[in-house]
Amino acid sequence: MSSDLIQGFSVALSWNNLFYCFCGVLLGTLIGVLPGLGPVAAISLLFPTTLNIPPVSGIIMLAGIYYGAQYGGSTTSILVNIPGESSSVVTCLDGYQMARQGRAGIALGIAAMGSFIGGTISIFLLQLIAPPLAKIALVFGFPEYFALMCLGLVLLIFMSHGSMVKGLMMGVLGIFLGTIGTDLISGTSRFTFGIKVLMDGVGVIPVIMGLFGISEVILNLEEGVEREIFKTKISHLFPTLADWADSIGSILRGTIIGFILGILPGGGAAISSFTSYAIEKKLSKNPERFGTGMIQGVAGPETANNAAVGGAFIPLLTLGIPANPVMALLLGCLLTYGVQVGPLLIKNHSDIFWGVIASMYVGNLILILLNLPLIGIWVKILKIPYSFLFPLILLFCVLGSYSLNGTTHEVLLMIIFGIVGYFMKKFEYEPAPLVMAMVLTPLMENSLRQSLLLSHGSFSIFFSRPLSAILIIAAITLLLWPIISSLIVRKMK
Amino acid sequence: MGNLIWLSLGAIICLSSSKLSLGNLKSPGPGFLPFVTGVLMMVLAIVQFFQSTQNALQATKKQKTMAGKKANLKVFLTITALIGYAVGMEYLGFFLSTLLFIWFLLRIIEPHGRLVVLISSITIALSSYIIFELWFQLQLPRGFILLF
Repeated sequence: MSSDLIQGFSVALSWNNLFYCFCGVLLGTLIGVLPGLGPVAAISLLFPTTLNIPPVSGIIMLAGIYYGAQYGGSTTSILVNIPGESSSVVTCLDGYQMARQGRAGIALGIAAMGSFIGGTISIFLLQLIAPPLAKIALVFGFPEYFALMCLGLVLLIFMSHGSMVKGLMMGVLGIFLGTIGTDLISGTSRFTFGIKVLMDGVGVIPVIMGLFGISEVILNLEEGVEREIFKTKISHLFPTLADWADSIGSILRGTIIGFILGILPGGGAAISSFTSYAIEKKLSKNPERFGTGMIQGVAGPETANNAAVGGAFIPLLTLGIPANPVMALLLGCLLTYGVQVGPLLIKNHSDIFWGVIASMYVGNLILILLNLPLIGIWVKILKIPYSFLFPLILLFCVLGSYSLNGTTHEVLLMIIFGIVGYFMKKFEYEPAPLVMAMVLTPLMENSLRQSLLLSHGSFSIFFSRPLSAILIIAAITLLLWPIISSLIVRKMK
Repeated sequence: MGNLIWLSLGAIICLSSSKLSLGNLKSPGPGFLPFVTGVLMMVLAIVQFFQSTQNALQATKKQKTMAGKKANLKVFLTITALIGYAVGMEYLGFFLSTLLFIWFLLRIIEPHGRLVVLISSITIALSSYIIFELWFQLQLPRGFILLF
């Protein structure tokens, strides 16, 4: 493994890749700082620009945007009380209070240090776990793959906010969208209505940009975005020994929570930070003081959301299954580069796997060196009014989707999904299950049809093989959990 | 209303999928999975209908989601501008259409002073052309002017 990692560093430390890594983390931090522009929109926008460079360089830059955004998100939470990213929502509670008490520097400092520690440990764990997991995944057959994807999808719906029925509807709609295009087995065109651009299926990137980018801008315009930067002198960025003593436990717990939840579909950075905050509050001797400027309330969640990044790469790089919409997008990018993602990725494209891992170590280091000295610049960028920012976001989204094929079809598709996403947000439908289902459907459908062919049409194949049986039973249990839990509550009453 | 949309969508999907070959369980055809999603969609719409009728709070919640007339107009104009930009780009070329698009957003949607809007529109259109066409070498539409 050490020779593989050395090979990875030789890839990551080449001047070219170092430059792309630097660009990625810098842009990631910038979009993390700016509310209303998330890593999904930024990756979608910059993806076409990576088509002319080697895949490894492209993926190094796009991954840098993702983890860079987690670093940047805390700045707005602490200084403006507006989270730059959903994963930094909870940082507002104590981070902003710390800023009001004149401890903005310490809050920013501990957020950056925690992010660095959590991010680095999670990359180490990724490097440790991914290769053996990929070897295990090689023995997976079609039934196991189908069962695994079902469980992943159900888990995502289970963990999403609000009504489970709405989550399921989104999942089902996503599966339907995933079936649009040419059927790989029979060659039949499905729901293409003679539109050429739909022959290869509905593009993941325009859908994601519409659902996450365009809809967010429209909602912000409707509701109005106002932000007031708290005027304070940012000094003493380095936490004192007492601050470290208070927060080291939170940082270590945040690392473990973030990493584990990052692996789970639907877990991701946002849920990791919320869970970390809840646990820190539960474990604290003074839980009533949370929300008044407790350093643990910043250190834990900010560590967890960075640790989640390393975890999220595990299912993608070993099984080819994305854990969240950003990973779904990266999967789409890798497939466009012509890289087959799955258990054989580590063997067939070791330069990409180890190069990305090594670049993440490098990127984390760049971020800690870059972020703290640049806080003044980030604050200045925050002062750009949203009324000047939204035309740029819209323009970037249009450019990003146009450059995919050089046609306006993709742009129109993005706008349609922007409108759909706007109504979905209005009526409290989560877009994540839709995206995940859409991305997983081609593989899931193939696994289902091949499994049924193998078993001569019997669904018992999913229960006769131990691993697929466990996965399917877990998925069914989760799906029925609201009914089971309400029955238990009724019985107890 | 929302449930009716879901129900209709499910029914349309079922009907369209049945026109494709559904196959059988031994050998599922291309219409098999879409048909299942259509059925599931209809079932979920019915479940949601019963859930929402049981929950009286739902009605008050939905009332909250309705925005004011001015905000609705802003949303409508932004979407129209986006569609116009996407369609117009092919005819007017990237530079001119971007200039008009940014001008519209900055002048009509979130109004700013004339000079600010003019300078911003030109700067954004020109700099994005330089970055994306000249630096990143993306093939942007040239339109009938054939220059930008």
